Amino acid sequence: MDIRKHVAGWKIEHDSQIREFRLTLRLLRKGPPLLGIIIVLCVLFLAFFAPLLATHNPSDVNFPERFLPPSTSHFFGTDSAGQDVYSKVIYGARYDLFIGLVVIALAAPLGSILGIIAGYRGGKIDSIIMRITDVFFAVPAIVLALAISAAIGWRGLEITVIAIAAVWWPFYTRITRGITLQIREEQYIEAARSLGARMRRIILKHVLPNAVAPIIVQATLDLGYVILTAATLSFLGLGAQPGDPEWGRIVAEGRPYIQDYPWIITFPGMATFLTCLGFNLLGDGLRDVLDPTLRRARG
Amino acid sequence: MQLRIFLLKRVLLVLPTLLGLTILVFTISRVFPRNPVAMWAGQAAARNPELTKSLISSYHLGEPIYIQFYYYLIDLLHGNLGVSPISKRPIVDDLAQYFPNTIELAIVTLLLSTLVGIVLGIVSAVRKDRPIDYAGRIVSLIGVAIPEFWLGLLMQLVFFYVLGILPPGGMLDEAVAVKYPVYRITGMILFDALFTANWHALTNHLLHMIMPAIALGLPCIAVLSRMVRSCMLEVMHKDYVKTARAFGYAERIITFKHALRNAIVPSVTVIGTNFGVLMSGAVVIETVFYWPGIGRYLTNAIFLADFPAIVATTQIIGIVYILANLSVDMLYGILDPRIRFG
Repeated sequence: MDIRKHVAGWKIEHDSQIREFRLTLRLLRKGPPLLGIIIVLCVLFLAFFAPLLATHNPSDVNFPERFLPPSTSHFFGTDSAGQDVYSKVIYGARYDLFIGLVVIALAAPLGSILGIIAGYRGGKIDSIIMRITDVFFAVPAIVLALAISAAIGWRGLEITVIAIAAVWWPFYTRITRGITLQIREEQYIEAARSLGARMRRIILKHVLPNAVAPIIVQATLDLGYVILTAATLSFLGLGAQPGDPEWGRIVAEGRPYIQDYPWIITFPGMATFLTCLGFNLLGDGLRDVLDPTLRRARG
Repeated sequence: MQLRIFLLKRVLLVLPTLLGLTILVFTISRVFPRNPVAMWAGQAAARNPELTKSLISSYHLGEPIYIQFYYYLIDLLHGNLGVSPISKRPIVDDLAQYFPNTIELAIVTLLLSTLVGIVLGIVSAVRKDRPIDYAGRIVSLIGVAIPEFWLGLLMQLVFFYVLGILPPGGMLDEAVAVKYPVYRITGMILFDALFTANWHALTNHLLHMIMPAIALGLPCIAVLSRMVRSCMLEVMHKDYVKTARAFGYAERIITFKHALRNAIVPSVTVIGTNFGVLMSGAVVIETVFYWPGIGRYLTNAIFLADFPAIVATTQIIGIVYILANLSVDMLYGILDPRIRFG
């Protein structure tokens, strides 16, 4: 009885948040965002249960069975080493999603902190930070990542992650700086300051909560783009090692046989495309939902 | 603010970015590698003590890092980008040969994708929530999400291997290149063939260009059409558009004269961003279609571990991108006086 009373009290107390949450769910349940959610959940599912879903060990080399067309025993056929393309694509979900998550986990906090500092402090610090982001924006991410991984000299998963994260943080700096600049001028910040709140408190209590939604939207969109970039780097020969179940790598290895055995490139490319599309749709949907001005308009 | 002052200010603001870019590329080239001599001279030279010594002195690798940077900067300003340890040629010569091909492809793609993107955006906005709008939005969704290398390979598969109507890659068929050699003026086959009225080479070259241009242009079309569409929709609700409608102007006139003129200005900035998309796309697309441009040069350099070439190419791509964005910004200021005062 006591618990139920507690729950009822909690419900009343948090009524507005609950209603917001319900509205959010309702908005996400229609059209493109729903498709995005389904795709993203599928990719997560594949990545999580890869060992259960795969029919073969993706690294098993089986030369007598190379270049088999798609069939019931090999859903997506086999590649030039007789590896099962279906199992490689399934494990690729794990590989690529991992790269995406780690890159965002590195780039988003770093970039956001710099952006908030730049926006809040202004002046010289702002100029310096923003000039640095300008420099990073001046070289296309893929080119810079190529140069960095070439300089570090060895190829592998870690290098892909470091190189992409090194070029990705400025996006977050730009976004959070804009938000911070906007919020800094609000009256409630002035009020907080006049009550004696320190910079740390203002940033944690007022600026950060406002910046979280756009950061989440950007991170969702970026997960797709980072995976796309990682696949591209692997396709160009950096990043994943030969034989690794990485989507771009599988395409690169299937490329010489494109004319006679097109299934080797078709499925991993499709997986990359759908994953990026899914995160894109979900990110766009989240943007509409998390931005209250847009939400009221779309109701 | 006067236009002249605005433009001057923009140009001056680019200098720190250019310097920062140079510092960044220098850092990647000299600080990151664990064994710079091996990176700059190639593995073979690193084993040869005589050669190593001469390379250390020619690249100033023995000096403190800031002295090295000074020499790097001086060399860069003199257009001296070093010598490739693989081809033994000055990298500047290599780049001079490959760069026009990339620029040519970029110009054609940029023009085409801008045209298509703007038209698609307008049509999508005017026919909002109609089938054509949905089609446009689907194209733009596909455009941002599709891996360029995969799109390129699929087009090769369909148009060359299956249908056999387009060449799979390269810039000219060998037979055409031998029979109708293109006289080199600008280094860009398209313009050289045009100026010398070499129609056989021109048509053949254009055929080779179709697939790379589409694969490279699709992401640009996607971004631009999205931008134009949302700007148009925003402008269509403005008071002056309502007023124009109340006056009884034809819808066509309202769309093009009142709405488009204002909606197009913010889209100009996207064209600048698209140039960056093109540059990174070129690395991939040139590799897929064997287009002998700077992107293919870069991926070849990575494959051969030709480190000086990688550094030089990164530096040049950065400079080109900064200058492209500078011109877009200046154009934006000219088109929209509010920017100058802002």
